[in-house]
Amino acid sequence: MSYKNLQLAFMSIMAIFSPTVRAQGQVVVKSFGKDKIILGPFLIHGICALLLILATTSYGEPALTSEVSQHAFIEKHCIECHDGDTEKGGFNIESLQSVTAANAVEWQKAWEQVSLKEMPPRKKPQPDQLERLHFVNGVIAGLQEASKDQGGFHENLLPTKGNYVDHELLFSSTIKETEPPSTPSRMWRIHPDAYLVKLKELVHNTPEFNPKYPGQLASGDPVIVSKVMTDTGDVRLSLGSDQVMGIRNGSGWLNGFPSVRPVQSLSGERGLQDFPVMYEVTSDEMHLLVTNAKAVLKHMIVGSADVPDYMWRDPKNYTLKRINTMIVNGKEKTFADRETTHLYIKGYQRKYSPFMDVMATEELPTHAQLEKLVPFLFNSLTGRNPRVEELNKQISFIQNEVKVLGKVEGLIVGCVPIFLHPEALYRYEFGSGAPDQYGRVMLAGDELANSIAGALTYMSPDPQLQAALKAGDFRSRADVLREVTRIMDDGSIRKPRILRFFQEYFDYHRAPLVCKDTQSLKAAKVHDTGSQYNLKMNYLVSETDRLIEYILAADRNVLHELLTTNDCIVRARPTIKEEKPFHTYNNATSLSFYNNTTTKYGKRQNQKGEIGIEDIERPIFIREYWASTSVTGPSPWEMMTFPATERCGILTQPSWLIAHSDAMDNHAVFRGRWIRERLLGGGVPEVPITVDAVLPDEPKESLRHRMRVTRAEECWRCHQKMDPLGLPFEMFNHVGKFRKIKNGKQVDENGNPVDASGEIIASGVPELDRKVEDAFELIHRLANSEYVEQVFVRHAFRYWMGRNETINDAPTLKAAHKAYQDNGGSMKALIISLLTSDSFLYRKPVQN
Amino acid sequence: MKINTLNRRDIIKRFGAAAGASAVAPFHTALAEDKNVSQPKRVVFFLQAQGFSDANCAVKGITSGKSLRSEDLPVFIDPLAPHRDKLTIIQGLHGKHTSPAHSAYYGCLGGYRRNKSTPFDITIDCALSKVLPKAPVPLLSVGMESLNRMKQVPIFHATSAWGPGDKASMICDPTFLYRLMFGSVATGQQRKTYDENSKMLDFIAKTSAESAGTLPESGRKKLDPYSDISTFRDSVSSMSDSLKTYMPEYDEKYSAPQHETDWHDAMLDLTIAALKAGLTNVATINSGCGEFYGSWEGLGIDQRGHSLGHLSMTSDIWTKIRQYNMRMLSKLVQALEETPEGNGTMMDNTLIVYTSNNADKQHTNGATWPFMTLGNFGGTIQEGHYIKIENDRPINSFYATLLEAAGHPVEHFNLGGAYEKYDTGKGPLRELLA
Repeated sequence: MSYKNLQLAFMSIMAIFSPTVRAQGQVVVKSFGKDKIILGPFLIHGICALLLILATTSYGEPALTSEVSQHAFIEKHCIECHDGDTEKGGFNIESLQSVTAANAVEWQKAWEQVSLKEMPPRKKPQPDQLERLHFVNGVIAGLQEASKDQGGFHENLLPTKGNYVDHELLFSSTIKETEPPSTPSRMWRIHPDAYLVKLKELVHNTPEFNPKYPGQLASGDPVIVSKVMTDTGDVRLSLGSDQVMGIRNGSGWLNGFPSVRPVQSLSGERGLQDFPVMYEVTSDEMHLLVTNAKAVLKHMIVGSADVPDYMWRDPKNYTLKRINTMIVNGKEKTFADRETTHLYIKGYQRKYSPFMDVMATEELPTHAQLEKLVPFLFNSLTGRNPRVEELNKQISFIQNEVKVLGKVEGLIVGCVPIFLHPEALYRYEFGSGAPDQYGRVMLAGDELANSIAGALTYMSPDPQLQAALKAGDFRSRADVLREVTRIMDDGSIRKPRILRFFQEYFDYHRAPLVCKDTQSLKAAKVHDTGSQYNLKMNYLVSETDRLIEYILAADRNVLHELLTTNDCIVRARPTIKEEKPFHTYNNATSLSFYNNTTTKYGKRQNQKGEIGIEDIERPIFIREYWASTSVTGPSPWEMMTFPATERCGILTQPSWLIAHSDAMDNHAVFRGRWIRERLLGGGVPEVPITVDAVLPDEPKESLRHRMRVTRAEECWRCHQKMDPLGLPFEMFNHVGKFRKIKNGKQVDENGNPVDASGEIIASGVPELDRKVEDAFELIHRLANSEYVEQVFVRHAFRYWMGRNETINDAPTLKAAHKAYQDNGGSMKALIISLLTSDSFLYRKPVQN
Repeated sequence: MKINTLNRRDIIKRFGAAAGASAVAPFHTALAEDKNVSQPKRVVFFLQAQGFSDANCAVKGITSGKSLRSEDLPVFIDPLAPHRDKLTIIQGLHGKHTSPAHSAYYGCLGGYRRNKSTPFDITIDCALSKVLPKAPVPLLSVGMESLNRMKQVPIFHATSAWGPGDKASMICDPTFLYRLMFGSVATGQQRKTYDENSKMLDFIAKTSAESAGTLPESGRKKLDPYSDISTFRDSVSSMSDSLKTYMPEYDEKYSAPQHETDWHDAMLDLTIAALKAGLTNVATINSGCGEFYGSWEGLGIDQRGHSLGHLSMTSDIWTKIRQYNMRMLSKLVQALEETPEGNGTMMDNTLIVYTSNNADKQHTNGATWPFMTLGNFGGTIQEGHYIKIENDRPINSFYATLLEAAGHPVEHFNLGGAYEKYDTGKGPLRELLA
């Protein structure tokens, strides 16, 4: 529709009510000869809403043919400041007209500003929620149309934009224009963690679940990050490492194993990482997948056939002398390569697979053997059994390859295709059966089983779920409720997806990614450098993992506990005794990050408040729950209760603080932004490209002082939403230590007094907005807010649905929050509610 | 170096995948190949593990800018004597910001902080690959280690990257590389394996097509990449004539190596063959696989691994290893010199760069990082001289010089944001440009 036509259309509609347009865009209705200014705007609004209702399509999708309403919105809320004459902020909306590829960037800004309620400015009359929603949806529709031939517009589908949907529309108002929720049909690419676990379960003898130590690493748990000598957490599956009893020279031992690394990419951005819309498997990745598949298959078929005899631990003939040398048959032999200094247990047992039956004889694989082997692999990798034609084709292929290449090579080449089957790389979610009146179909069969298994685990559906499916008992919502509850209650079914949510929600697992400047570490009294520092970072992350698992095990007031507990779980070796100063633990633990009152070689200084183990029973629980989670030996966890004036939940864990810091100092903006987005459900527009976002180089000054530059008019509009939320954390330094108290006040490393005051501004909840004295007051205010709880529920929704919410999902969100609250703040209840919702269970075909 | 910490303006100025999409376009226009003119066409990086010190390339009494023609080379690099007129020794660069201690890993060719598992940005070999004339294989990276290690870990990642987090594969098993490169024209067992792997790729693509047939369009689109699974094979096999001409013989050196050095020699032969056949224009040879171990039993050296790095770079053992490297470089130069190209030879359009991924030695702080180059890179780089770089320039400035020589000047290479302070100078190293 051209601009002229729009104008005509608008005017003709206005003609119905014979208004006249006054200055300032007010519309006056002439009614019975009298001017009634008040009615004017409402009438316009009413007309627009009417047109919109007629024009709107399904589940809050961008309305088509609503250009009239777009125009009305612009006239009412934008044109006064952003017409060709005024151009406030350099933005001229009048010139944009419809959305094109050329002006898409400007329109995106408009979308951003209006969604985040930056525009119209807070002091001006605000559109109501629906009006704003419809305008925004119209802009999105325009952007999608305009970029159709250039890859399309998907920004609104990214996790960072989830908060763009108005909170009140989801939780408070009841909107008539919605329809029952569903998720678009899609394919969900396998997560790199899940990929590694599937491979691991084929080749490693991971310990079976031990109910005595329910937290202990068991089959189905993720491949743990190599904590030794890695910079940023090098995750790899080292084939054969499950059987290593001892090593010499820890430094490079992992390089001695054939290994497979995860292939799939992740965005690496802060926050939720894994929406299906973001990823596909590229053809480059496929080659890596082939290489990995061959390595894994080779290990399953022949094991580490290259392993020389002297690697078996046999004290009679092989004595370990010192690092790098062994006495072998009476002669001293130097080992340079890491793989030759691994000591395997005697009688090394590879994990059983049907390949072993095939390799037990010299014969070529029989049809019967392959009929067992192929479904075993297929099911492990795709989560379902092969259909008859699939099975036969695959068996034929293997037999042909064996004929040409020989037994071992033929089995390898023949079985690789199973690893690259589309359903091994993607979860299909298309639904089946007849669509309902809204065009929705329910997930069913293997898709349903894989969705449920994939929501919580990295494994194929467990045997009980597969049995229920086979028996026809896994169809209805009641069936799903039963199975999900069973899986949630069964400790032997490992559910790493749950902890992963908290990692992506809090972002504390990013701590090892932050490069630290050596001088700044020294100034913060951290004497670990290089790989020792990396090791400590990994310790800190795992300590936060354990704390979250502990709170989840209790499953009471989960969010409140996470935000306010002054307990910490630390990895302590040896056992902590109260009178032993922290500095003596420096080399073995990360304790020095929790407490700033010691230096490495100095004496423990006096500090107000007690530190110690208060509750005798809890440490025992901790020890027994986790026992050993380390591959190379037991490492007990200890729970410590810190003064409530020093630690308060995840946001004061060193891992979180470090993850939201930079090379030399705290990052109050990251911290503030985190709170703004993850607790307050808000957002901040992207930094404009013209902005040089750098603080002055004044190393002796406090961060707060250096951040004065954000108070400039053009900066403060956005920074007021972040800085006052992040600066209260100046109570801690950039490695998470609670800053020293000198003469009753905290000081930073340069002796500047710490000002930890802050403010909650424009939260959207008037009762929340106020000044706060310090981080603890800030956290407690937020932790006690129902609104914040709802924002948390929104994030959980996004994680488990793999997409952002729309207004159609309001019933799911409300129900999930209610389930959480009704069950005393139970994460379990929240997850069950989400996984049995229409949003999760129903699919709707994508319109093209 | 994460992109988030960079000054926005820097992003536009920088080279590499991390730059904004619009800024990338001009840099990625590859040099058009002109067969009649000498121009930069190919580059080979040779990285030696554990160290390459100033003493290893010190020429007595020489001053910067002087020719090497009538000089005696130090014993460590003696095998390069016949190629003195092509050799340039470069001292004076630093890599302090890469913290090389136990190998700088990606930081060596990237010019940023060492990181064993996550490259922060593109490395210079990959960057040059984007601007030099295109070849089917954009980068051939090979590794050399102990036999056991090469067998067990045929694909490794340590020194090359296409962008942040985007590691380039280093192939460490020459039998695997042989098949990859020459499978389509090989004979015997190699050919058989190649053919069956081809069938395997076809089977995979077919399975995917069958699945896609049952899906709606949105699903089918997701599975499109499966149809590209054989693109590499097809592009390589389209060069079958060239490949046949230069294919090495698959002898016992490959199938029954006595020592790891047999496989190291095989790797070099394959790299030379790939360059001659035009399969690639950029190769990175990693003696020691980019780490700080390594094995050279075949030279009569019993010591292996980490502890090798605790020996002095001027020790007898390291002299042996270094001379072995140099013989490899010499072989490479000879092979390129004997192959005609345009109006001259392949060597006319090539640059070989030698250094260590561990700067001058293990546990170093990276303050001295010597380089050697062979060739004049199509007439763009000085050859036959000793050059001492003044003003404490980082290795990044050398890399920026290579890009300038290749026809794509940049303001800097990976020195944005916090890294700016590591270069007190500006621009490329003029002393090196011809």
